[in-house]
Amino acid sequence: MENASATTPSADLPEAHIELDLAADFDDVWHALTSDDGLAPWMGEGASIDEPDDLRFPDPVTGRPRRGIIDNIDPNGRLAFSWWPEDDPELITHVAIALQPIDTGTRISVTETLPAADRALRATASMSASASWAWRCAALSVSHLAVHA
Amino acid sequence: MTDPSDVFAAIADGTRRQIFETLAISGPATATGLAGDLNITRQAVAKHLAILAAAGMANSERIGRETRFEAEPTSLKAVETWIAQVDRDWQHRLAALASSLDDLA
Repeated sequence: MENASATTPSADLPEAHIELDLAADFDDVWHALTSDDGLAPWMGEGASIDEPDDLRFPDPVTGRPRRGIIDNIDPNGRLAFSWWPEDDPELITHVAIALQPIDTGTRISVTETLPAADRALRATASMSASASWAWRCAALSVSHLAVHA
Repeated sequence: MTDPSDVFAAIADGTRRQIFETLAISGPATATGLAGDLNITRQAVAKHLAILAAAGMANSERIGRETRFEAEPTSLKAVETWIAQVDRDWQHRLAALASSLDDLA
């Protein structure tokens, strides 16, 4: 692993963004992102992405198991999903992952954002949950506000 | 103390973000003044200001017959904290991913 970098939010959205150059082939990285057995070593045993509307991530890093839904998946190296801690569905966020082949392997970039209301509402509909908390869990775009504040 | 969920909900709406940004950049303003600046009804502005105030993102002060609102920038600390935490979490996850790929090699 090399060249890890965490960067600041974009001009429009409050987001966390990180890139990492992996010494692995594109196909191997894609498999690690989009298959249960590929996810298990880093997202936790029992991780599941087979059901687009019922993703499961034990997430040993935080110790808070997460659920999620696929927003978009493109074999060209684009994966996007919304997820939330099982114990706090209001904390729904959006994750966009992009892979890019490079000379030394594969570059992965991850962007996690607080979703705007429309996305949160769509995710909530998929969860068949009440709409009352959907609005609360939505969030947005504040990096530029933070700059000005 | 500001509840992060309230802040995230408050900023989920584009008009509220616009109101907050206007207050942060241009300084204190009344609902009537904001309505004129943003070209929306005073009633709508008042509703959004109430939500911003409830989330700790705006303070109000009565001056004569007017109520003036100002942005409370410290409320955005919750957002900064969220970004930093998510950043750390992904660094750890990607390190684990890299390690698992190394094991395959």
